[in-house]
Amino acid sequence: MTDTRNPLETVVAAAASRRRFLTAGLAIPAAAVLGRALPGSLLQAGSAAAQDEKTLVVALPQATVQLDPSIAGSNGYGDIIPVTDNVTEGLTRFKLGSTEIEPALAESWEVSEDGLTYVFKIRPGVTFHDGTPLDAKAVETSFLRQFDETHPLHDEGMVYAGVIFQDVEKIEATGDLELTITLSKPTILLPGNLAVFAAGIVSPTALEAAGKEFGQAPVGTGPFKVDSFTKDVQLDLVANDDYWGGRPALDRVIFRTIPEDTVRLSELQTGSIDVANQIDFKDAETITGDANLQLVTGPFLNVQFLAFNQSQAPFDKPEVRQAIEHAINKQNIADAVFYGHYTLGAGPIAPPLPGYDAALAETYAYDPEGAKKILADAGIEGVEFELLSRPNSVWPLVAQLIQADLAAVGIAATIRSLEDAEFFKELGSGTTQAFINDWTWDNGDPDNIITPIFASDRALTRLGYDSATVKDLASKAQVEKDQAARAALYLDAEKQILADSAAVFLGYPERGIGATKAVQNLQVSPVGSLVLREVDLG
Amino acid sequence: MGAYVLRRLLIAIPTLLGVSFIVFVMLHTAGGDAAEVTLGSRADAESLAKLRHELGLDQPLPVQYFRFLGNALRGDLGVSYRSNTPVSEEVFNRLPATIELAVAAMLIAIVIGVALGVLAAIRRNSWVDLTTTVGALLGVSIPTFWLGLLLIVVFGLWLRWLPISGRVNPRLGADPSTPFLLASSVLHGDWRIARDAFAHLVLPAITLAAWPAAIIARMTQASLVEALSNDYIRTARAKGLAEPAIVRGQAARNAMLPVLTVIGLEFGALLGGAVVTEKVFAWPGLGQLTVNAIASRDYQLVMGVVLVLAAMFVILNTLTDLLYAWLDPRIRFR
Repeated sequence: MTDTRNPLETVVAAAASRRRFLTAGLAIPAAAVLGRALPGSLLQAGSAAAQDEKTLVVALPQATVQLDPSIAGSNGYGDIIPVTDNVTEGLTRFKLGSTEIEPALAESWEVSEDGLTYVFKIRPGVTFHDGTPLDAKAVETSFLRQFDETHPLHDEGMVYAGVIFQDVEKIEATGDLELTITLSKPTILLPGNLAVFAAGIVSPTALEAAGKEFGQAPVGTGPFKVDSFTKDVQLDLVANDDYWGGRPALDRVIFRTIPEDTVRLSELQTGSIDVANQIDFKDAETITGDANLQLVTGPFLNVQFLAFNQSQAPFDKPEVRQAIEHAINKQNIADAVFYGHYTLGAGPIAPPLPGYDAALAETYAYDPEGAKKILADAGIEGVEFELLSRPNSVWPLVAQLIQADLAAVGIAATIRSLEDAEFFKELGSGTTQAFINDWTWDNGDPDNIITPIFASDRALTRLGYDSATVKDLASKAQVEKDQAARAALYLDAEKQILADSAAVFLGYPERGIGATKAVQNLQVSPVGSLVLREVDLG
Repeated sequence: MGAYVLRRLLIAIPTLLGVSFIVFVMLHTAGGDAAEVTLGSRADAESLAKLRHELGLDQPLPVQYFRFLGNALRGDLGVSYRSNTPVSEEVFNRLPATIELAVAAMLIAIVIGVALGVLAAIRRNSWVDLTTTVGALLGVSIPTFWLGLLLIVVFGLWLRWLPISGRVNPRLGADPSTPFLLASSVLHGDWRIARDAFAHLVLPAITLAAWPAAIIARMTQASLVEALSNDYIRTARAKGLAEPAIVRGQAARNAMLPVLTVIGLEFGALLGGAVVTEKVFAWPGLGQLTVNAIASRDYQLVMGVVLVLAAMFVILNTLTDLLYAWLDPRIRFR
């Protein structure tokens, strides 16, 4: 058979039939997808008046996948903390820029003589964003779905229940606007725990209606309500005109996810965004040197540490741990990694919490010669170990600085870097020799590190550490009402932890936010949220 | 022809099965699971066990795999651990942004790659040829990450010609969940958003185009040089045909066939390989979704994304083969 057409005709015919094929094949799905956007407008509902609105654009490094405050997101929790306090609120909250507790959705509370019963008076006249009135029953539902594992709205992802409802026995609406919480032990931690973001109270009506999808459009009582949410990409909030604390100054807040530090900074420099959360401190000078920008910094309740597993050699020998305590130059980390925005480590408790004492740093002063001597006196030579770290954030740099310091005193540390999932699996297995990690406070209480890290089962698994003294001190401090006496108990616990050289407390990093000069009243929250209720644009 | 297409599509089934199996095994040997990531520092044995049970992670691996497969066959890709939303919804919400970026990058790559390749071929050993060779080498060797940041700093920050990241300026009020934002805004006649969306597309598309443009340029050059050395070209020259007519009318059509294959393959790679570009430019496509899903060990989501990408790759390859045969009458389907 011969083809009588010339090559050009063949190509043209082929192209034509290819076009027909492509048109038929692609037009249908394309129309289906485009069609979704076509009928209405491309604009978001309610954005018509966008021109005169006071809109604040905030860039976050984390992706936000869901907004139910009680459910931990993909990166553990870091992804919703910055945004959630603007939408949902707890019975209590932290005063702006501090860890002091103040009333929020509870107007006041009373504690029984024996310290076991807390009666909260719910603030009257508050409504959720969907119009549902706030009452004790609504708070009860919000709490029970986390606290009671048989509750129909319970989800296993509610991992903060253990923190918020520590030692809670019963939660009950005992009046229209009265909620009673009964404890099994008279701890004084409850009001602080109820200020944790995960204790945010949500509309029971919306919860029932949305079911598992609630996290895509949460309904709270906060100063802003959710206007639209595109997972991982953008969250638009609008002012809640009926906010009990007075309407916020901003009309609209847009949270965008921009993972790269450099890109976030560039967007800020060009003015495309107003606020860049979590600035890398290497960029601090660029921000302070720019006439249009400001650097907002402040203490952040976070401690970085190098922890030893005492059940693993070589850390079963106290001399090795002590030598390492003396060998690490914390000032180096402060300068090279945080450009000075770092308080050198003393004990596990971060400033300005009760129990923090800068003098604890003197327990193990930087003294490489002393470190060598401790090893020599104990007749220990050729110490080698594997230091578990992570490949993201500041960890690679911190690990390398530690490695160099240890090499200088004759200790060979091999860095093994694992991403989050594998890192935490290793820690949980109890086979890790030593690791660097940090701890961010959920609430503003010293107990939040002493108990979970040094006086729990986790301490035994991860650190091979089981101190009856620390457990006893922590337990007493939980029920001590006198603040000075509590601080003294925690200080004793810290001294014990240091005497046992359970970990090297490297330091407490600050948190930096970059913003344009027009942004007013922005403060760093010690627990990592970005509270915008008083922020304005000048 | 029909039988050929059917056979190609049938071959896709074991391919997809193989891909899903390999990805499943790799995910589970990577260590750490969704429960560990979710609980992080706060994990203890009891809460881990409870969360694993809830997520079905306490089932034996073969059970997990076959359950995934069974559901996938019924079109159910499962529910993402991260967000509690269906995986198919997550994937198809993000796919349009990736397609938009990949198409723009491919157009840039084809225009630049073919133009440079042809110039280099007809001006062999000239400065054009040398420049193209060096440019192609740079295109394949510059890390995407670095190129992206360079473009951002130069065109976004210093010159301020173009926006830096995202798909559209959020202050314009465009709905960021619009699939095919640029195309939709053009169809709506909303030129304010269309202009902005187009400007946002430029830098990431150039970044993403660097690699395929380089490959296409080299392939075009090599292929055209070979075509120009054929006997029929000599005959055409002997007949006194002008050189441009020879290149356009005789050599180019034949030389384009392998280029077409490369374009098809590269386009498939662009859809799945925009991971770095998407992260740098905060472009909300499949690449970012995949990275986040892997980091959080969201097995369901990773499997879903990979299956969809693999299916698209297979379909694109099949389409390329069909086009190839259509254009070259010497190739017949068997």
